[in-house]
Amino acid sequence: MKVENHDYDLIKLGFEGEQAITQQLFFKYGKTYEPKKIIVREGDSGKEVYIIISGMVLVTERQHSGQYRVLNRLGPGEIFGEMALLENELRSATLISATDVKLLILAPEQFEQIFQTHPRWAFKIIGALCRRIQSAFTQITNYYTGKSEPI
Amino acid sequence: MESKESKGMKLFEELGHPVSLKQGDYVYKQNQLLDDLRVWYILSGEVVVRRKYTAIKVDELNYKQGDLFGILEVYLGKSRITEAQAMTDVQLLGFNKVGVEKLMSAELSVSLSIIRSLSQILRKVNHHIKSLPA
Repeated sequence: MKVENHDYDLIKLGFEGEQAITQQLFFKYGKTYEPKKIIVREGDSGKEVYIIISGMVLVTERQHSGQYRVLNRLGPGEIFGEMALLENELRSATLISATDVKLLILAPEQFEQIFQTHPRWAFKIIGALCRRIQSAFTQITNYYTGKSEPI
Repeated sequence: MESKESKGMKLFEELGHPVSLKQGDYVYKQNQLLDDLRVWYILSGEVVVRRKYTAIKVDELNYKQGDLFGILEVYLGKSRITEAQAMTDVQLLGFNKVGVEKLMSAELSVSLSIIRSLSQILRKVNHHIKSLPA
C-alpha cells in the first residue's frame, strides 16, 4: 500500500517530527473510507477510538424521515468514539465520511499504549476536544441569540 | 517500594496549589480572564460547571472528589467560557498549564481523566444541539 505524505496533513495535526510514528501506526491501525460511508452508527456498541488523519467526517443524527441531520464536522487531528471507550456507552451519533477519509482505529489497549509511549498525543487530542466543545457552545449560543452560523 | 498510586499523589501535591472554598463560592466565572491556576482537582466536595447561553439556557455538569475540571480554557483562549461553583465546601488543588502537562506526561490516568471529563461535556452539548429544532 503506497502512502502519500501529504495525506496526513500533519501540520494541522501538529505532529511535526512524529511523521514516521504516524505512518507506522497507519500501517497497523489505519483504514480508508470513500465519501458517504457510515463509519460509526448511532446506537451501536463499540469500544474503538477513531483519530482522523485526513479528510472530513460528519457527525449526524438520523431523523424520523430517514434523513441524517448534520450536527458537526470533524477534520484532521480530531478524535471521536472516545466516550464509548471510557464509559461503556453506546455510540451517540452516526458518523459519515464527507470526503475520502483516512483514520486510525484503536482498540482500548492500543489507545492507552500509544498515550503511554507518546504522551504528547494526549495534548493534541485534548486540544481538539476543547475546540470541538467551543464550536458546539458557539452553535448553541448563536441559536438562542438569533445569529445564524452554518455548521 | 512506593506504590504507583502514592507516587502519583505525591506529584499532585508537588505541582498543585491547595485552595479551600465554601459552598456557593465561585472557583471562576464565565468571561473572567484566565489567571495562572487553570485546571482544578477535587480533593473533597462537589463542584458544578456551567455554560450559560442566555439568562435561562444553561448546560451543567457535576464534578466530585477525584475529578478534574477547568481544562477547556487551557487550550482555547484568554477568558473562561464556563463557570465553576462549589456545591458544597470544597478542597481543591489548582494547577497551571505547565503543571497539568507535567502530570499528563507522568500519569496516563490524568490524561484519561481529562479526556473523560471533556467527552462528558461534549456529549452533553451534542445532546443539547440535537434537541434544537432543525
